Amino acid sequence: MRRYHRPDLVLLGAILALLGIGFIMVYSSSAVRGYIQFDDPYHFLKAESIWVSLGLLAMLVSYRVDLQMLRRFAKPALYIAIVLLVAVKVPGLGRRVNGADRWIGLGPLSIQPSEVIKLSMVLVMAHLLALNPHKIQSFRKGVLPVLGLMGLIAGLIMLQPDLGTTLVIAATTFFMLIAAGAKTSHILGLGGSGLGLVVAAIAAAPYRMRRIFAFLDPWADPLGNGYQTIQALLALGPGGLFGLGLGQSRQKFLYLPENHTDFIFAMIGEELGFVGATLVVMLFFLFAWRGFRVAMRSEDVFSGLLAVGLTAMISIQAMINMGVVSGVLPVTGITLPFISYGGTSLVFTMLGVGVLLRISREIR
Amino acid sequence: MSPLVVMRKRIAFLFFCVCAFLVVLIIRLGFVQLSQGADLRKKADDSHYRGVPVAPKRGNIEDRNGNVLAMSISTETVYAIPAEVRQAGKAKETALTLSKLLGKSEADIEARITKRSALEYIQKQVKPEVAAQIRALALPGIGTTEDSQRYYPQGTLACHIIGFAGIDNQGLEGIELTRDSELKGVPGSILQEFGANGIPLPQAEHQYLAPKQGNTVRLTIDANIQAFAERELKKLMAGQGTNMNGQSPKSASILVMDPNTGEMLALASTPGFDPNHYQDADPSARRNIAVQNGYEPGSTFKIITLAAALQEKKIKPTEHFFDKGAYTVLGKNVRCWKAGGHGDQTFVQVAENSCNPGFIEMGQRLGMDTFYKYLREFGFGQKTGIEMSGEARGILANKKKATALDLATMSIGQTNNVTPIQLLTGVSAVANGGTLLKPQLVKEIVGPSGRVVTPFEKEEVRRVISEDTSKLEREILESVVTNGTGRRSFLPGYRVAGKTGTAQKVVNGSYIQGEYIASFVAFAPADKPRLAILAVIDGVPFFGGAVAAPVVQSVMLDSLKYLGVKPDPQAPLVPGKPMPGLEFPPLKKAATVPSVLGMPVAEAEKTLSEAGFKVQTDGQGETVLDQIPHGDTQVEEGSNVLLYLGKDAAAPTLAHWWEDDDEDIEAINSLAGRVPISASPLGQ
Repeated sequence: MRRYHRPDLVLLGAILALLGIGFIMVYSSSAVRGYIQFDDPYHFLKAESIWVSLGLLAMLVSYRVDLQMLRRFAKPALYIAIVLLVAVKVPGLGRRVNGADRWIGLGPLSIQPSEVIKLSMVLVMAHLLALNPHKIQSFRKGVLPVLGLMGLIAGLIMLQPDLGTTLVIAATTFFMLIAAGAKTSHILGLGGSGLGLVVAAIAAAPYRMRRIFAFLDPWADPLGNGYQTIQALLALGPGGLFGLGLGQSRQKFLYLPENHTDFIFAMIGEELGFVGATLVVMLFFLFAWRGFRVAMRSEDVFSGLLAVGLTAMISIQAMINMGVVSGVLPVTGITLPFISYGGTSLVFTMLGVGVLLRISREIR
Repeated sequence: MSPLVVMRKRIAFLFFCVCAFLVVLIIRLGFVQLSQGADLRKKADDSHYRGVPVAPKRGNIEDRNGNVLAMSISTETVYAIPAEVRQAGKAKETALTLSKLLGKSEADIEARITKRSALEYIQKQVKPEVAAQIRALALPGIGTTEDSQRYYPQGTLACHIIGFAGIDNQGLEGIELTRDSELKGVPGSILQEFGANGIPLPQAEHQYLAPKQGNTVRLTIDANIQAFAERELKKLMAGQGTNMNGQSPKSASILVMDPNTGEMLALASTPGFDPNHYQDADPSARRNIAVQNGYEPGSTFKIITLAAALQEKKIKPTEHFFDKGAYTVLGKNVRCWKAGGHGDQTFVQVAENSCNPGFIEMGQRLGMDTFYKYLREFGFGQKTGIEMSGEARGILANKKKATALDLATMSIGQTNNVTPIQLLTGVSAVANGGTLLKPQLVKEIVGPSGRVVTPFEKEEVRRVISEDTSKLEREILESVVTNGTGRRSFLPGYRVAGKTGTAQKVVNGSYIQGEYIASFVAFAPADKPRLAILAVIDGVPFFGGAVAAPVVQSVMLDSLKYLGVKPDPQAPLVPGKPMPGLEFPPLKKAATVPSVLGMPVAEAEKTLSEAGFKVQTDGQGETVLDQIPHGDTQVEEGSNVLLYLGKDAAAPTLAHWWEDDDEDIEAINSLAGRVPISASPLGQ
């Protein structure tokens, strides 16, 4: 007999706090860009209001869905997502932005299938791994099907190409395999071969080497590969302890590209300082803590693995994003969950945390 | 173990991994934001702020008394920030407006204000009124900044010393060049924060970095003494030189030095130029011939020969020497300038007569080694180190190849090539008690607040002769003026020592006939010299004393009076008896110049032409402010009178400075025998 109680309010609080900071910072960072490109400093804020509303709505909807029903949706959702992923390459449907096919245009709306697939992948993997929890001990029967699924999805995403999302998907899968109880030898083997794959990919295309290692010494190529890293550091550095003050960013005057999306964390560091940036890091810590806590307290393997997957996916994406901005990871174009301006990404993240909150109602 | 238990353990591990990464992240943020923050902030500022330079005001060049010779007047520079112009989208209208105000082509302005650059100058040296109009229009992307333009209020005065600065206020010649680093100051700027698109930030702060103004360079030159010298040069070039028969020389220099300190009080050469319009000047007129040209000094150099002979005790002043009219060296005769020779003389008389055989005897007694030793000691063949670019070294005959005949001609100032500044420096050493000094042009450097940054320091090069030798030679040279060939520079009431010189010109390696370089060097008062003056006049048909001595006399008298040197009651008021056989070219009939001061030009010209004079004018205006020669002086009939024109007859001029407020006027007027040299019995 399931006991229903209140969802994890700390988790909800962390999510809403991040959402609120994001909403303010999207306005602060996009005002100049909106004014210059659209003669309207509120241009991005208006759109963001709609996305946040849609996101909250999505969270409420998924929160209400019964987990067993959700589990039945898993496979169909995955098939739809794969179709969408293929569709981005179809001329007329796919929309090319900055040399990558990541979007599908539906009238005035455009959606990002990679966001759809991230969520459905976590759902399907949790479902597969929970079918027979003991199969995970076998590499062929337990680990390989999950790896195969991940390989298919990662391959499709690399076609766009979208290195950041691929990384998130790979890392999330890895986390779920570990949580599901895969053998230590398998895990180490996978980690080793993953590393080998990365080395091989770099070796195959030397430009990646330059791009990837530019973050170590961005000043070597300040106008090329090092440009974004430098501009992010030039935002973080002057922020100091308390920041230049809300709205006082100078790097937002078109120095820092993607400052309201991928690099919004730099804006936080510039305007709100080390204190503000650390607050955001701590909120993600809170999110990860409460998310994993939900997973640990789940009373069945499926909801536990689902909670692990959702928490890991969002936390990993946040860590990669903040790592890129602060210059400890190479530049990969992914958004900061809850905070970056962004349509599909925000809505599907909220859809995911709705599920997480749902699970938190059913734990011990 | 149940799968749930395994899962919980594994999740704890995963959470630990996430925490570890977040800790790394916070450490990294702390490093970037706190430890590297200041450094990154500076880098960010460097990329955000762009400066409009504010030019420093270039320091003045002044004479020793603070009279301004070069100054900077405020102008403005109009600039554009092309990104702002493009953003406003009114480039065409802006260019049209500016072209009307600046008188520059519209197309040119449009090209500039839309150029792909952060900052573009449209026009420099814009008048402040025009710049104010432009500011009032508040054209988008157009701004103005302070600038300055060089102005030489005294025009041609001391042009070769001052030199000039170019359009960017960079020193190009003269003191403007040699002291550029002190004059130019340090530019400041107005810093403004810009966005990456080149548009200034809306609430951007402006940072004003004040420029550091340039220092003032105060010269050793005295503008008045310089003016006396230049007046004489003008007179010469106008064909008004005494004994010049109305001819003009090719070029001339007058150098005035304080022999006790090495300070140059005047360094004037003609032809000259107006540094305000240096672009229009003939490059040859920009040449500072007193420093950059060498010449054979002729008899003026005998001062050095005499100094060496006296110092080495090779002669005694009272010792007798017989001049038979020529001196035979290596089978060749070097003739005395006087046919038949001067006969029996003491060595004092040898000097008075400028007797060539007498000086050749001195040279032969000194011998090659000692003579060359003194040449070097006195600084010939080396730069004096005066602060002028392109100083010549002069050329000494190769000692290894020199023969006794070369020694003979060198003793009388031929063969060797020296610069006027070398000769005057050497003569100053003789005059000042025996110490060779470095000739200097800069008295002190004064900071913008008036504080002296670098004071003047006398620079002694070496002692060349003893105090006693110096005193003895001063007396002999005074006797040259009082009794000998230098009498044309005799100043009643003052003790003047000096020596004439005439040298043949060397053109393409051989002497040319009928054209000479006349020179005269003098110092006064002879017992305690205050001034040493050298005049070198190139391209005259006469003996040095006849042409150059009056020039030196005139500058000497005016300068001594100006410096407040009182006439010496012990000094003779008339020169000694003219020597038999001193021959000078005959002069034309003398005529008295009428005074036309204060007259309108037309009337002055009429008066002068009725008196039989030709008229030249200098300056612009309707009124005669000054004239050369002055009224009531006697000059050759039918020669030129130079009129200085101006607008205000009341404006004082240097030429009449002593008539304003000098209590010594009565004293000098009461002295007998002060007559214009051209009308003196000597010239007749």
